[in-house]
Amino acid sequence: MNRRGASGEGIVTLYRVILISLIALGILGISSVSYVHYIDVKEVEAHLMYVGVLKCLAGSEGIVNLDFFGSEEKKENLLKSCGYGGEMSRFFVRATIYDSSLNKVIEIYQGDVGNLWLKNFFEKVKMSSGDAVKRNPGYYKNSVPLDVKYLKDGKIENGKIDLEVFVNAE
Amino acid sequence: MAMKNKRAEVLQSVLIQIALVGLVMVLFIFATADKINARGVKQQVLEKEIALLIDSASPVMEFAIDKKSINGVISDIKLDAGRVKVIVDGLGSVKGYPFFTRYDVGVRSEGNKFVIRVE
Repeated sequence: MNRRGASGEGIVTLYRVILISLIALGILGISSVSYVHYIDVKEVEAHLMYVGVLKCLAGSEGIVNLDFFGSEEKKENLLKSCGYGGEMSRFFVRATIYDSSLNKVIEIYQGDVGNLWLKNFFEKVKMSSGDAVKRNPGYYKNSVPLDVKYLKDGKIENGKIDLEVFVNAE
Repeated sequence: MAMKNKRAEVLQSVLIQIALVGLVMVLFIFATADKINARGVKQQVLEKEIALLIDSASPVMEFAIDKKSINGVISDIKLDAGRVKVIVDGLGSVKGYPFFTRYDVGVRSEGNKFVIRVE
């Protein structure tokens, strides 16, 4: 091989190495932006919000004062009525109170009920990896037994609370 | 003889290329592995832990966070517009993580700890 040919091959090799390095750096750049290990705490947040709202509603005596939620504004702003501030748009919280015959007495809520489709979607479509998993919402629902009482028009009656909390990705 | 030399040169060139590609790939793998354990993850852990502690706290509760821990060196903790922002190993927090509480929350620096108080 003559000298010109050798130097030509050297340039091609250098060009290839630079190209491969650029591709590798490109992949690294993209992965460093898109890949951050995600720690999901939405389910825990749903539990904590459930406990907080239940404390707010029933207090330490286990009596829900329905007269407090008399106005539509308070009924539709459960979290605000409980004193929660800040970013509440990720939450959907709904408390349904029944009497002892399980007739619905009142529904107090905050947030967009339409968000629940996301929970149903993730229940039907199981995903264990990928970016979409981050979108899997946190959800907790529980019924408090019938010994919970509620105060309405000055009278204390036995009843039951169904409380559900939905937490969307931030 | 000339043919043999040419083959040797091609082989040498291919070997050099493979070695260089291998080197680049090793660097890439190390950089990715480093990213997995990076400051961003430590920051995420701290921010979410603190947010959950605030979420579950009752009034007059205090909790202390060491400035130096296994998760790195924390230079500042901010509670800004309902979000916890932690600066760890010099990495500033862009978004932070949201917390929810019905109570007032404050943070103060006290010696080698940050103290978060709910009241």
